[in-house]
Amino acid sequence: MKRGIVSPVFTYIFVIIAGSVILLFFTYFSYNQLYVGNRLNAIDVAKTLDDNLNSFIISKNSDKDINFGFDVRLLFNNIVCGTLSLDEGNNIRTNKVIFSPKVLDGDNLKTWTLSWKYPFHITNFYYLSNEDSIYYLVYDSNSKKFVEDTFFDQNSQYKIPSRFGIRRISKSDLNNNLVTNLLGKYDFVKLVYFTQPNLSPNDRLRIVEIDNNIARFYNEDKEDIILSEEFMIGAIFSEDYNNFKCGFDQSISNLKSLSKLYLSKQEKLSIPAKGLTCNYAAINHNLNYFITTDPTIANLQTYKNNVANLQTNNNDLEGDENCESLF
Amino acid sequence: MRTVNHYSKGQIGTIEMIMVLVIVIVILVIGMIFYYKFFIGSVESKNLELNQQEANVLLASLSSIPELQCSFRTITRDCIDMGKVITFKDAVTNDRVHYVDLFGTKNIKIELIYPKDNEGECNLNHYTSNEYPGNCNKWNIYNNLNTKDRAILSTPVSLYFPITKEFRIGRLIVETRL
Repeated sequence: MKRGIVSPVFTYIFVIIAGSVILLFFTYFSYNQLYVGNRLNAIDVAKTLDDNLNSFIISKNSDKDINFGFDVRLLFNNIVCGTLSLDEGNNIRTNKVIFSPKVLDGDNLKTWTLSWKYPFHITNFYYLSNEDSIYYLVYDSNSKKFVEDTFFDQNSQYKIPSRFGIRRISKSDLNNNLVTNLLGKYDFVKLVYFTQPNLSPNDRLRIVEIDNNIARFYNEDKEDIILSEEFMIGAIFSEDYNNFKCGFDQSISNLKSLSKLYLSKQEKLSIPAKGLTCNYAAINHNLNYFITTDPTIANLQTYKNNVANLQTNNNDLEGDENCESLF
Repeated sequence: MRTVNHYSKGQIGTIEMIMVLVIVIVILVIGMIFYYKFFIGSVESKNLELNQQEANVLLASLSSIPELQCSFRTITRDCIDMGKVITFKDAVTNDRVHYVDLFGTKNIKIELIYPKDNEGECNLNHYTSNEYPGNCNKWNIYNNLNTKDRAILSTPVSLYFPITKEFRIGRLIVETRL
């Protein structure tokens, strides 16, 4: 080779290296943009969904479909309790009490909100589902009337909206063939027994038994108490024990926080200088019980009695000239 | 003495290639800077849009949250219980994390519009006075916005004062980032 001339081989190597670096840079850039775009979109959808659910709080009992216009994969209480996210996005904190399957796929979300009063308004419960989820309420002769009157009667405040397609079935009509058929059609299948279960759970079949204020989650072999019908519906819609427990703990935390607020309000309403000499002793005792005591199977009846007493004591204040009811 | 640099054809070829590469990289970097500038701008505008949307929803739903809403014999009514408002500030201080999750980066205020006698922020001293609620007209119930560039959204609300058992007209104000 002549001196002073660049070798063509050197030129090719130089071009290949420079070209590869530029190509790698563009590939990384495009990939990164796609990733950031997807995450931003996921946060956008999650925030919009959260706002949609927030606007629901005005209602004490209502249901609606939320249509996203494109397929999304929503995760509720995934890993961290009290969060919602899309598959590609970060978890966003939501203060809502949500009972639902952990993952909901599709472009449409079925939602229902119900306010929880105990006896004062504590929070709204949100029940979420989609087209790929099916729930069967299984009854026997003893529980048939309760199931029909509570969840299917038009006049019941706990009537489950028809958009959820919840079905009821007699235990004697439920068999493995029907379950196999359901598992072939739906992503999420849940049997809620209001009697002793006659089938066993598996990875895809969720089984819960509701009996005397106790919800037994057979997949996890765990149980928890049911404070009211709103929690019973929560046990129907939640994917598993952890999801139910998450909603339960959030609700009790809200109950304690509201009890503190009413206790504080009562202090502010007791100003002897203004002639406000109402005796709130009984109601204070009831509120303090909520603040200091967690509900358990052992104290469930006392807890429920406390609600009734609280309501009576509050209503009794109305008739007193120097008094104002707390809630 | 005169110095003359003699470059060989090979050196000139290499310098040309490097110059072309440098120019291409400079053009790419300039393009990237512009692209990211617009991209960051669009992300910020999306963030603001979401923030505004959140503030609108909050304004519409705020008077229905159990911490503020009126109730009589456990039946909820469309008004704000000013007895709760006085205690709500303490609740926010005691459980700030929960309320920051709930309200985010905003200020929330209530202003008495009619009938009002005096102006000024209400505190516990005003509250214990016999002239309350006529002796002040503003309640700052949540503060978590430091910027001066802020959008102010408001809606009329009915205010109930349990201490005097009377209703007055007020304005619920939500301030958010602009």
